[in-house]
Amino acid sequence: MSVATLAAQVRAGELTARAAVEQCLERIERLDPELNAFLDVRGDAALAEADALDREQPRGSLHGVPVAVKDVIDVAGERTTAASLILADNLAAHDAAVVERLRAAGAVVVGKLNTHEFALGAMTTSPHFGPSRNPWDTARICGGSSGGSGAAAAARLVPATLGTDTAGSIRIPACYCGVTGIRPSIGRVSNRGVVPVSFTLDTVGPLAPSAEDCAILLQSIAGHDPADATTADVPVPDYRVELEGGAGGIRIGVVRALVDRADPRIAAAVEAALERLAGSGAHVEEVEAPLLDEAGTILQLVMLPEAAEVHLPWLRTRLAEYGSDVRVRLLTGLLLPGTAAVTGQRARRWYCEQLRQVFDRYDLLAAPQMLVLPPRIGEDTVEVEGRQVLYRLSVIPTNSPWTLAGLPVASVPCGLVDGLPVGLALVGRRFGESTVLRTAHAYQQATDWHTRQPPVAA
Amino acid sequence: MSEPEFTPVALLRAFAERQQVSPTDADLEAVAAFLATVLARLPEIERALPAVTPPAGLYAS
Repeated sequence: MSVATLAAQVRAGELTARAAVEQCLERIERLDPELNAFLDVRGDAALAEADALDREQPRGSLHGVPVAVKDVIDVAGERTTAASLILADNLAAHDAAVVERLRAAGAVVVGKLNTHEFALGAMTTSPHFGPSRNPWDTARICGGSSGGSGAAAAARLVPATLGTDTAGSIRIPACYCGVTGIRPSIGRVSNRGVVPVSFTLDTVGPLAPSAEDCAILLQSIAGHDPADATTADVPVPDYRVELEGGAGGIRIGVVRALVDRADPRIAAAVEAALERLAGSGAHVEEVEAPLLDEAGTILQLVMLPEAAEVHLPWLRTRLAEYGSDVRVRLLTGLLLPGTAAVTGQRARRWYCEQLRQVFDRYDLLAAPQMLVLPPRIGEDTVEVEGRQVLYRLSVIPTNSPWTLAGLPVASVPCGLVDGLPVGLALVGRRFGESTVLRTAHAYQQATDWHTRQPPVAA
Repeated sequence: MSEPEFTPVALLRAFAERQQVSPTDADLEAVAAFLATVLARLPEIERALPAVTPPAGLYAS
């Protein structure tokens, strides 16, 4: 059931918040042992909160809607582990800002979701808590780092989830799990109470079956937070109202270089989606995006030292407790020359200016969300353009460029290849979430890919 | 008497230990490979980057 439908039923008195939570807890109990999307389930606490909501007048747009959040986001009284040993017993004293806002809108947080350790990787295969398994093929990864968020939304364990995205971590699992996910603009959503990866790149955003669901979630969490210097004090539009604008007249630049690098079956699905948008009145043409190959390197120069600085106390005292992949990333950030880090920040500004000029001509850019299908758990290489490359490198071309510029990006389900979902990335101007969501919604009004469910969920 | 040989791992270890971090040789070998990949692409970016470009701010603008 969609977020909108469920909330409407609770508001109309056709469904209680308790019943909605009970349904989710039953699905989690039945399906999650195979998926490992959840690290903690708040069964009794969530039911008590639902009972309290059932005694109140509706708080807001999410009254009685069960949600779950990635386990880097604090929920008061619960542990925030970041799927790490280092934080395995870390009890949160306060709600994160996004959890405060979800609760203010009436949502019930039913649990904490699996992630790549410290949100520092794209697989969600924590050596400490085990991998999240892709609901479409449980032998494969969910992507990451918000892999539990993608799996839980795809298997309809909850109607919607929150993830975080520093370098692709909402979009990748949204794509691989066949749900819609939006990474908001940097500064749009507060990061207060979220375990940081990189202060100048981190974002929090929703994953759910549809763009409409994501719009409702984003509406509830977006906006300036005086207690978080990384949020921007800019107005938040009414995303749900603006959803109905349709795709007519939207100027979409298709990043041909990325379409050409993708698995041809993925490229075909993306091109079919763009044809559909053109049929809905969008102006679709090819564009050359600047510095695609450099963006990944620039991102590493920015992100790795910032992450290492966050982790420095634990690098000194608990180094052996990190998984090897995360440990190497953090040590690389520690040992990168300071001059290279500054060059990265200068190159980032240069890159943003180059990309801004492209957005003088287009409202959105479009590209495949991922170049390849999700690898099997345990495999770390994939085939790109006939060559075996490390999976972690394969995610860079379609994620780093938009991340680096702090732009909003949605991954929208647009097909199945070998029974696995593939996604279309829609990239907007800074704070242009409305246009991204409106276009995704228009596509989803004309197609049904976002309604497809994995066999495990049926 | 020959000069002491500084391998990449030994150099990285020295810098890590200056920051009170003590990685294993295996970690540092992986870091050396990662750094080599990233730094190999840096000269191209340095050449293309206009000299007057200041660092990005918090919002990358």
